[in-house]
Amino acid sequence: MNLLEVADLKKHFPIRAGLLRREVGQVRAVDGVSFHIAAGETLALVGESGCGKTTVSRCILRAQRATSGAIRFMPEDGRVVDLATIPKRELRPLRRHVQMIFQDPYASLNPRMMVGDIIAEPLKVNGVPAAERRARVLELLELVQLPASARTRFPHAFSGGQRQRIGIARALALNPRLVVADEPVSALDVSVQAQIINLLLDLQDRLRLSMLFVAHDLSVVRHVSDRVAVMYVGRMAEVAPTDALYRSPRHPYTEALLAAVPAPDPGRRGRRAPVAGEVADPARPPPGCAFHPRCPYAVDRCRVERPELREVEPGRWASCHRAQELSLAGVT
Amino acid sequence: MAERSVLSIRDLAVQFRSEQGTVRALDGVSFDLRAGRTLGIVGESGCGKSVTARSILRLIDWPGRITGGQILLDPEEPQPTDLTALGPESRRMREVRGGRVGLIFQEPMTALSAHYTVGNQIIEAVLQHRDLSKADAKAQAIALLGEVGIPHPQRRIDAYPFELSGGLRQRVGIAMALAGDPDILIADEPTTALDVTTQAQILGLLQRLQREKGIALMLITHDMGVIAEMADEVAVMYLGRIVETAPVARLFAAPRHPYTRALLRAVPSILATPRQRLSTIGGAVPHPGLRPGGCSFHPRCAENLGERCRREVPAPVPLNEDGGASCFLAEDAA
Ligand SMILES: Nc1ncnc2c1ncn2[C@@H]1O[C@H](COP(=O)(O)OP(=O)(O)OP(=O)(O)O)[C@@H](O)[C@H]1O
Ligand SMILES: Nc1ncnc2c1ncn2[C@@H]1O[C@H](COP(=O)(O)OP(=O)(O)O)[C@@H](O)[C@H]1O
Ligand code: SF4
Ligand SMILES: [Mg+2]
Ligand SMILES: [Mg+2]
Repeated sequence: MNLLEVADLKKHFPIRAGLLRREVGQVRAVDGVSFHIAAGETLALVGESGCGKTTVSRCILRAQRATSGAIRFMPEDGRVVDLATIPKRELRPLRRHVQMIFQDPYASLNPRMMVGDIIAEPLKVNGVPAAERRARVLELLELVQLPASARTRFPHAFSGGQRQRIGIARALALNPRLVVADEPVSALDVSVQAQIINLLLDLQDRLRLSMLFVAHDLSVVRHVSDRVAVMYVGRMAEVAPTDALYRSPRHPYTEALLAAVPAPDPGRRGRRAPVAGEVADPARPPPGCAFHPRCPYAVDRCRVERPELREVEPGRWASCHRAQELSLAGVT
Repeated sequence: MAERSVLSIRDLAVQFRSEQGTVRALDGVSFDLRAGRTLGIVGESGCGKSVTARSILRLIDWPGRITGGQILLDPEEPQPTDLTALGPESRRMREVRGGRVGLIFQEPMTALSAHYTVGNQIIEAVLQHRDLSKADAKAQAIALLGEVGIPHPQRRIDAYPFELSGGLRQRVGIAMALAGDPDILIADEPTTALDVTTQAQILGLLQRLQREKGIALMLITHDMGVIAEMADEVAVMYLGRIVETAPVARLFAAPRHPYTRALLRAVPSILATPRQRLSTIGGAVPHPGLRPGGCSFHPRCAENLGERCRREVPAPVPLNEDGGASCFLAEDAA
């Protein structure tokens, strides 16, 4: 079995209105999402804002309880738990296996704690003795390429990129099986972003890190991920190995997303017209394929029948009625 | 033949005073905005992009102030107006701000109020700059909303900003900026907060408006992709100075400043090979209060010449069509 298998995950939020706050509808933030992450693999979860990426990651971290579906996770070889349904009590010892890297390196570190204590905190919570903690903190600082002297300083003394390294060290303290990173480089400047991307690539190699990398920047994703899962309005549009997805997308939404990214090359200027329209409201998703109002390839069937995610070739999944017949443009 | 310059910035200096001392946010910035052309301004956080934009509109507030230089409107006319000589709240400056020069913000809510309908706000802006009846102003507001691609403008004019998506709100922000019929538009990271597909739509809209109206566009961004897509000329900023200017094709093909070269190599690419590493620039942008002496990029510069770069300040970029770099390597190569 894979390290993580998410099957038909749903998370619906009630919409309340009126004096009595009665439920008048539901936001289908995540509406039947399936994917897996193999050990040692980085899967990127991409899509426009509001498509449900953060909600998926919060369900995996159990910061939110799934409405339905399964999140099968293998904390150690031969043992599988369902993070969607496992009782709170049994969840606690599992938390060390799934750690999080946050987007905002300014908000995610306690300004009143020394860096060494911030990194050691998960160790302390898990009962690691003080001497071992100190050794581990030094090891972690080295791993994220910060000087040992950082231990006794406070977060305000560090730049955004250095703070992100501290956050990464903290996330790795307990050797988690899975790291969930929600937009870990999107708040950083180009030069700092490049350093953190390289660090993540190093860690993937050195630690065989398994990672769910939530991002909206398709360029960053091409550098760091082994496979990519593209979401649209709470559902999975396409899942594929990274290079294959960029070269030859199998879902019209993936094609539209790729075409919209401005390449840092004036010679490629203005090649394609951007996709029209706006992302649908997850409280009122269009019938049939949610992408059909914006899809240049939509046919009658797309307006009435919802396409399921199907394996369109070995290792590649797409939820488009026309996935087999269309030949879509990638970026090469 | 270069297009007519409509705005010339010369040696602009802006300082912010704080308890820790004086921060030179802009330290001798010069460039021209030309009719029908897009000047892309790129640089990392804190290098002075927004301060440049706000200076032109005289929106720098205490503890900041313009301490030197000129901002010349219509520099090729017999009597240019130096905006630095006007009171920020003077009648003339109010006419220029939103009239001759429109401003588009990263977050459109900066320009909009949450309490009024978008229609009311655009009508207000139209009336401020044009002598029209209320009814004509309303018709004009509807026309503007249509022009920026808002569907059903007659209906949307009664919407409140919060009822609109981020993309539609930015379109309203652009309509606001167009209300005074400006011939100069300053867009400060207009798409940074938007998704790529929406960004592509908004950039397309700016291109169309510019073409139709011959607008001089100053587009601030930190995204080299946006620069490649939009700019005719590019100015690269570092620590309150312009370190390189160039026509866009040249900037990408043969960057002349080591900072530009490093920046271009550090940008993630949609064309990357799997697990491709990026070149990095050592260190981080220093706080502008702690500007290194000599060439201010020297501590991070992989190509620095040692002593000379530590001690001497390279000449500013030349103000010609071909541009240039403020770097001894470029000086020596010329
Ligand atoms: N109100 C202020 N008070 C003090 N210093 C300021 C103020 N506004 C700007 N500065 C200084 O001026 C410098 C330039 O700031 P500016 O906002 O122009 O940067 P920017 O290039 O627009 O960055 P970003 O990409 O983050 O928007 C900053 O480093 C900052 O220290
Ligand atoms: N706590 C919540 N209550 C109601 N709606 C929510 C909540 N969290 C997220 N949503 C909605 O769910 C959808 C998906 O949100 P999110 O997962 O944050 O998207 P993303 O991370 O892809 O930008 C959005 O429409 C959002 O408004
Ligand atoms: S199912 Fe139809 S509407 Fe949806 S992406 Fe495919 S072709 Fe387009
Ligand atoms: Mg999110
Ligand atoms: Mg700015």
